[in-house]
Amino acid sequence: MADDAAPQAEAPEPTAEPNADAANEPARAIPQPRPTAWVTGGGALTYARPVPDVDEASADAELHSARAAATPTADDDADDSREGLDDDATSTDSDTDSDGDEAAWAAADGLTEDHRALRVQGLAWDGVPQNRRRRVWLELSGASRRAGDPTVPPDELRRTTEELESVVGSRVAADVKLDCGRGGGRTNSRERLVLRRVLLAVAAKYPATGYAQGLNVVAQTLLESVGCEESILFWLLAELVDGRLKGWWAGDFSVSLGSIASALGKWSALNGEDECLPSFATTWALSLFGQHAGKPTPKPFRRACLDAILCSNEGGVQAVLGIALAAADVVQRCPSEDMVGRGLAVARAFSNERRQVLLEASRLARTALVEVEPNQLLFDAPSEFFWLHTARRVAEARLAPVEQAVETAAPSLYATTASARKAADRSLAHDEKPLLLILGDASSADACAYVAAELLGVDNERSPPVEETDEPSCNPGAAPGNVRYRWGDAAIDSVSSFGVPVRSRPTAALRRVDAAVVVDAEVAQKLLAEADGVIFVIDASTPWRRQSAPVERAAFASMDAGGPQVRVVCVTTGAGDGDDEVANHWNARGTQAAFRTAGTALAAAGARTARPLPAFGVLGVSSKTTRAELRALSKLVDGLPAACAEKAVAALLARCDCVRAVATTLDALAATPPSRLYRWSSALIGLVTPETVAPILDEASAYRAMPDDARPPLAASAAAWEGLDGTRLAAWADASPARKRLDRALDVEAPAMLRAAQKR
Amino acid sequence: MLLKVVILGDSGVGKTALLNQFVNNRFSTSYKATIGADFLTKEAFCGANARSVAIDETLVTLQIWDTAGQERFQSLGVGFYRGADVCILVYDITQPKSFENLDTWRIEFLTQASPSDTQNFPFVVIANKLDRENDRRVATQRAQTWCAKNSTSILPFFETSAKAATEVEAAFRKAAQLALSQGTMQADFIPETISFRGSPANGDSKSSCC
Repeated sequence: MADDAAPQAEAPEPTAEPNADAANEPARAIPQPRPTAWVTGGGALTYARPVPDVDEASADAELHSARAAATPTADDDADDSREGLDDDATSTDSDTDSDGDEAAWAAADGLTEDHRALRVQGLAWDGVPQNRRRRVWLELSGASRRAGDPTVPPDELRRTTEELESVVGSRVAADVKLDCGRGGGRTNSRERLVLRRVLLAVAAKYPATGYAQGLNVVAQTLLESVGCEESILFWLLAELVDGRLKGWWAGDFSVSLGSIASALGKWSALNGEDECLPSFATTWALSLFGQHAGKPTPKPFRRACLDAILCSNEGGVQAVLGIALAAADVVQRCPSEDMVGRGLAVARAFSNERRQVLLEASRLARTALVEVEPNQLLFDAPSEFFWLHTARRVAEARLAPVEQAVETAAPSLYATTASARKAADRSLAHDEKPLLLILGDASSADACAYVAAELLGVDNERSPPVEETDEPSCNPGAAPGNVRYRWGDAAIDSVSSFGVPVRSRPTAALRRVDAAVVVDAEVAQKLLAEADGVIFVIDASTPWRRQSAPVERAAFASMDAGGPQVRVVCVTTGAGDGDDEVANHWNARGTQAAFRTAGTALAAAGARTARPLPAFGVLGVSSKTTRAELRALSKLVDGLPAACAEKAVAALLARCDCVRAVATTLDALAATPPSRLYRWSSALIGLVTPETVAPILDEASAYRAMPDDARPPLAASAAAWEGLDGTRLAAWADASPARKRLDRALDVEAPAMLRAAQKR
Repeated sequence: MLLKVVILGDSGVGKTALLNQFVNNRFSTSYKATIGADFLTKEAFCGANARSVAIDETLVTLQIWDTAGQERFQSLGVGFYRGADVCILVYDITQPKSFENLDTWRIEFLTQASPSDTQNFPFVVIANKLDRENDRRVATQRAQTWCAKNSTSILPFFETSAKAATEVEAAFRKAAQLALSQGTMQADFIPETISFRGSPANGDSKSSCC
């Protein structure tokens, strides 16, 4: 939203005419809500960086400087002999390469302990300034808590190197000795000794992990970032090995990395057939993105990865997987079929598109991992699942208290938003799984069953996975032809990996919807209210009577009333031998016949009055069934979860609109002379009617008398508004007429009218 | 034509150095430990420049997989070994343990890669770090004996120095020839790719008849 610098030139004529002096008045700012926080998977608030009072130009300048800062400036490991990688993968190794926003971090310093922790965790994905890394990593990773005093060496580091080697065994000792100088970058002899001792001490302290290649890279990145102090390095590495990434380097990796590779493969739809992705993923995971394709990644990138892994409140596992998924996206986008080419493309992305990769990673870390139970995450969950859950959580945790406060302050004004809120509540209360309704006339029961079988993989000869029987009207036994299919959670196969249930194989998108086959008007009426998608099935072989079709009439009436769009499918249930022109729709006569039948049926159902006209297709039962048509229907079903989630988010935004409108109106009313109240407040939001104006004005008087800190927490509604996520939400919000209308009212009309009112 | 070559051996024997010497004609003393696996490709053009390999007038692309030497990475091998056409076993002449572990590496490879003919699957044995002859602790004769007893035919054996570029080209050339002669070439695999961006947001596809 634009800042309070009101664009006066574009201000429309306010309802109250400003006098001539109004234009010369300095613009007075109406306090505008700010995107100050977002709600993360755990329901915790994470504060965004504070927004300074800058105008658009300076904001643009900031953006440009950030982009410029991401430009490579130096080269890393020029002596590395990887031809091609050396030539093409430029890296950015400057220590001052825009690691974090110092101003934002400095602003966080003044906060109290809890708020500071929240804010800097939120900043972690943007990078920690290099001069703060040691303190921030120790503090936010939990290493300080683990150590007590991280400058005090643990018992293991009080031993000599030889003693440590005898504790860990000759094999580990030999591996560590060989690898301590092979972690990327240049090291002197002292640094190598420190790395060796720290790796040995961690191996001694955590024998289940011992030493695994990759830890040497991580240790070296830590050393490059926080210095050469043994105890600090030990506690940070210990926190990774035994804390934020517990078990990551333990065992033989066969389960853990296999799961990552499989998940990444599935994510990128490569299904593990592409050999480079599991290979890359192994290296990424074990070196924490410190190495790629045999070469150290650019220093700023690997430091930024550790920033997120050590500090982000999403947690270490989520951070690694988020970055890995973002990097897998880069692999997939690379057009080259050659693995070396792909390796180079990813190296370039790490180097030149670091911010984009990390931005995407932070989004993925929040959205790809859905908290299904406390401390239990479902990896690779559909993002709509996240949106639905988050919208509900935000509504309950953040918005409801604000609404209560606003309602207490201005019950009459608040009551004007009742219908909008009611509609929004219905969407938010929606079942987690969207409902697909397959509707038909009683005579189309077979055709409906056929569509369900083709579309959902339901075989009429077998029982559906779970059959709802607690709804008598939907009980197949009670009403033949009415069946509601519901897949249980057993459809989700999970294997344990890092304590994160991971789907072991792709699950059909169709399992994410419930489906009901309904041929009874009464049942249809009931389910249409909650349906998210409707397929109206016509049996082309059944003669139609204009007086019939109550089910279909209900469907189209629902669509006209703003319900889900109806997709019409005409099913030809004949033998399809060619003699029956309806059954064989593969010739012109057959197609025309099918259309004719469908047209009659649609006319009977009143579909011609429906706006927009329903999409229409023909399916045949014969072996010549149109696969394309089935695919189109599958896409419709596939898109239902997303549509459902978007509806929930839109509902949340609608509620935000309501509360903001009320609160802003109150603010404005409180600041406006009584003589002008009615006209411009009604013009501002359009909420006030003659009947309600008196109690509202009373409320405004009471509100005016309130101390500032007792007034409705307007900013909190904005926090809920912005609480879902940046990019995607912005896209939705931008497209929302309601949002545009409200923004205009708040940004343009309200300040102008307020100025005019004050002048009078 | 694509030939997949897998290099195995203990940590620190010089697998990455050999690979870089062969592909890039370079040697560095500051190699990073290979984590998981890495790969390079080298195209072999008949009669092309000196860095190419001409093998019986056949154009091949060598896809060479460099694997981690640390023992615990062996469990990951199945993914990396799959579809290999030839395997190069590397040991360090100054490290007897790395030579003794050749048995383990060979068996591990055959177990995990499961080639159709385990008896005749082509292996090439490389004794690396010949430039450190003074520190040699594995006699040539001992290695040759091992090569003779571990296959129906004697395994090709090369003593190389990645640092001095001694016999590196010859060893890889032999590996490629063996793979070709086995006739186990695999075609370039082009994976089916689907848009990463996920499923369509809605199902508004249009019917052709509306």
